[in-house]
Amino acid sequence: MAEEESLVGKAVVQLGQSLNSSEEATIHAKAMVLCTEIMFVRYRLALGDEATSSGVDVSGKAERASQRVKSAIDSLEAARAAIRDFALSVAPALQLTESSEDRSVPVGEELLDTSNRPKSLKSLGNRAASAAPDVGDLWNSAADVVDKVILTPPTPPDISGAATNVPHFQVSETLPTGVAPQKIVGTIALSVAVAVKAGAVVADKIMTNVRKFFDRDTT
Amino acid sequence: MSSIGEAKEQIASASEAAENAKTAAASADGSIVDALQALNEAAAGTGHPKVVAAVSSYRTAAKKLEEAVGLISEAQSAGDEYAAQLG
Repeated sequence: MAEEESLVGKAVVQLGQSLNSSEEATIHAKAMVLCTEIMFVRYRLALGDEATSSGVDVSGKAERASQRVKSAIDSLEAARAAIRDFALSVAPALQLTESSEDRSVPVGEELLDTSNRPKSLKSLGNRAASAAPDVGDLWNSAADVVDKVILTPPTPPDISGAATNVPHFQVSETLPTGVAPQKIVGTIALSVAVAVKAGAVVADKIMTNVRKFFDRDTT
Repeated sequence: MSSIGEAKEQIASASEAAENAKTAAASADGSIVDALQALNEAAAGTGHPKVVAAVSSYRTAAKKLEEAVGLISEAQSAGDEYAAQLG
């Protein structure tokens, strides 16, 4: 399970690494552009306006080389844009299906199984932590609270609903000391909202972190 | 047109820039290989159109760089040949 939980995190790291390497390639390519433009100027200065030697348009080749490299840079930027789009579009799916091969019950349904919920929340928290520590902390704090209180959903939640379709839970009197009930309820509500939305909320938060990750590494 | 001395100096400088460009191209190509490998490890087998597009763009970039290196080498050879003719 631990290995499965780290898959999302590894995928995010690898995507980030791909973006980093692409950015490095772009930097080298920009150095190429500079060099080819130096070539163009030098050959023009050496050979004159026509800049030909033995029938070869020397500076023209340098200029075309520069254009090729600029086109390569455009392609690298296109690749990064596609990777970002990929990450933004499938990260929620990765969050929910990365261990689907070994799951007989979809994550969303598993979360609705009250007896299994704390474990599932913890599991999702660990997976979220692999992808984004901040979100993972949030998840795990929510799961810890769920572990310490008795939850009784008044009605079976509709997993096809939106965030507004969050069931209300009764909190037992055995509240953890030093924690405001409102905070616990709020935390649980958040947890349930995530469960009801089958991970969409946490996925959004993960993607916020992913965006920050990408922005940090590509700007 | 520059004097012969100046022309040879400019060509030598251009040739040096060409070498630097080719070195940068090798580094860029290596980074593209790394980028492709990381992308494959992250999303291999997904068949997601965005991944396919990214792989295609990476390969296009590598191809463009290869073409650029070819042009740079041709320009460099012609320039060096001209410099040799200058004596």
